[in-house]
Amino acid sequence: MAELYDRFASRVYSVGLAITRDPRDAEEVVSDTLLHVWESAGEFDRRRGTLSAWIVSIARSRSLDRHRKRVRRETLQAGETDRIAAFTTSEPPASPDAATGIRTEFGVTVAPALAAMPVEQRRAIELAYFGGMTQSEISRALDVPLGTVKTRLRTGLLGLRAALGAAPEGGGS
Amino acid sequence: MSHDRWLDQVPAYSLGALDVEELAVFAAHLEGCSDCRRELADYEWAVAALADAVPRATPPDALRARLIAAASDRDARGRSPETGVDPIAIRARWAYWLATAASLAFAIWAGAGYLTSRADRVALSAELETASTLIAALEVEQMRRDSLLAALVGTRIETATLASTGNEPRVRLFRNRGNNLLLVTAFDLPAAPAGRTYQIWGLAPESDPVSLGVFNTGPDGTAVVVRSLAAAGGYAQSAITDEPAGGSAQPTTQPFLVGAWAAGQ
Repeated sequence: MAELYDRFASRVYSVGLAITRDPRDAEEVVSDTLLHVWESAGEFDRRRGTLSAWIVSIARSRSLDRHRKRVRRETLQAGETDRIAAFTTSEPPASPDAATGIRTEFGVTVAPALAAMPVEQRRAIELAYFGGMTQSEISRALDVPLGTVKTRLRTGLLGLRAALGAAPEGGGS
Repeated sequence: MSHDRWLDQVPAYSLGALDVEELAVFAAHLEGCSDCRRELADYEWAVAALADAVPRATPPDALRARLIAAASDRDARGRSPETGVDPIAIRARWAYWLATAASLAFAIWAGAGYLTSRADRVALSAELETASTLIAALEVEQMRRDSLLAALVGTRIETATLASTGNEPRVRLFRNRGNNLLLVTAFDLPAAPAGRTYQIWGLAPESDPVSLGVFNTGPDGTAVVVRSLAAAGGYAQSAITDEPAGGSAQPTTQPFLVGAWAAGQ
């Protein structure tokens, strides 16, 4: 467990914090995720991806569960506008990669790839990934047609995939 | 329906953004479509990378110790309340993954000189990352087993057998004075109820009881755990009480098991 924690706790906590926006919830996400991983090695299928991708997907799922519960509790206090604002940025992500040198497991920094993406595509992806919204929910939240949301998600991910794939291994700032 | 229309849904599926009705239909299609599964694997790689776009934060230091203790406690219980999986089976799975990953890592290393494309390098990086993580996990298990041996091997071993008035339950303590490790074996001891734990005490004349650690048994009433002792003092007796989870500074209930310490051979 100590090894698992040292390798993945920071990444899991960061994802939990980004989604729940609450340090206590993010701590619970780390506990839930790593204990589940520790006891569920048999569920990991190497053919479906790397171990860290599997762990992050569990962390995201647990984070969204906690976030949804909180949203249900706070629906009366916070309007939909606040919910959208919480998961979208008009500026590119706060350049953690450039500042700290954090890279993806493939040696490519992600922030520059996101920063290069048109803002409407990035917003759609952020609302889906960090906000846990479906296409229809994003359509209503942004007041754009469903078809437009689908196009933005598809085009945005295609661009991200191409940008990550095109970057030289070990490159980026 | 043109197959392109299915492929168009892959990005939203990889982000978990399909609506419920679409999700059910697409998931059924995915089961039988290798093209869509390949496409999905390609997108999942990019989606997984999104996790690295958020500012990296460090959890509080105390969380590490809490989590390690929680994992140890679940091991002691013998069966996970969350998954119902026997930890021995879990270890076996990790061992299986290590064996698979280790042989794979060698094969990758041996063939690395022939891999030149970016896709190959990406796959190599992912496989090696998996292998190194699994090796680390098995090393942790090895350390756990080493700690069991460390508690039993030495020339200064003391033992205490704790028993109630009847034959059950039975708890035996082994203390290695050389490295101050305590091995606890328990049989026929029902698991402490939720929110409670068993606490071991060292008893010496004219001194307050000293906590030697907490433990719990699994559904089968057994436990084999090692605890590191902070104090090097000797004890005439040991006792076990039922305490709130996490343990108490001093016993809050009457001991239900008591036994005297004796030097080993």
